[in-house]
Amino acid sequence: MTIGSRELEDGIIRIDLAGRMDIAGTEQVDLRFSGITSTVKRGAVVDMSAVSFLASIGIRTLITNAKSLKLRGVSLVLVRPSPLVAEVLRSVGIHDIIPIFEDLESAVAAIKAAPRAAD
Amino acid sequence: VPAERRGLERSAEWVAELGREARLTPSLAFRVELCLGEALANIVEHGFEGGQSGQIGLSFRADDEGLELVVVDDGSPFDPMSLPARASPRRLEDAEPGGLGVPLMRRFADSCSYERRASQNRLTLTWRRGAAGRNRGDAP
Repeated sequence: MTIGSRELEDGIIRIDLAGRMDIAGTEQVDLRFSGITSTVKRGAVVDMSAVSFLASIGIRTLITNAKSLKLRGVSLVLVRPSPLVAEVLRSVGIHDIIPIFEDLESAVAAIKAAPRAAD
Repeated sequence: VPAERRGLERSAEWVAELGREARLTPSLAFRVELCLGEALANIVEHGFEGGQSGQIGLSFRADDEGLELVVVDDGSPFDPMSLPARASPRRLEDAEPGGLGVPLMRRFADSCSYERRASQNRLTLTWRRGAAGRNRGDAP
């Protein structure tokens, strides 16, 4: 599994995940994922479009990072999961606590619309 | 296979190969792989505490109607189906990162049953071909 990131605009980071988010795959990206999110100032958009498989361990990583960002008043959102990955997320209610968007523009707009964290 | 990480990875490869032979749709193969992974992860994580080593046995049967996966282990008695249904958190602050494996198995298999027999845990998961999305409350 691979992970990459780049700043989109104004403190908003896009995180690209690719591969199988099973135990082995999640372990490959876990540390880097938290390293990236620890530097995010405004919001993180996690692009899930290249994630072909998602197990509970992968959801754990998404929740853990979203929670740690939330503590700093920063949002994490998911974008473009495949239908099966989206079904996994919805089946355990993740869409209620971590917003999921169909496209990058909507994800960025939602982050920009959220109140800014106090600096 | 041994009840440890390498056994888990070998099992996943074995079932994926059998799934290809059984001509499972990508959706059904995904469901089988997900449930197997969660079942095995539970056993490896919780079934053999205190450094015990153990074994996991797998059997996989497919026909035109559907498929059945049986996972047997000689670890501590554990009935995953006895766990109460988990309510989805309404707020991120309340979300527990763990404990999602059993809810996923319940949702992504068409049936799950457990029995303790001859000092072994025996988990049977079944799927009907063409049933993906049914019985889960999320069909279109």
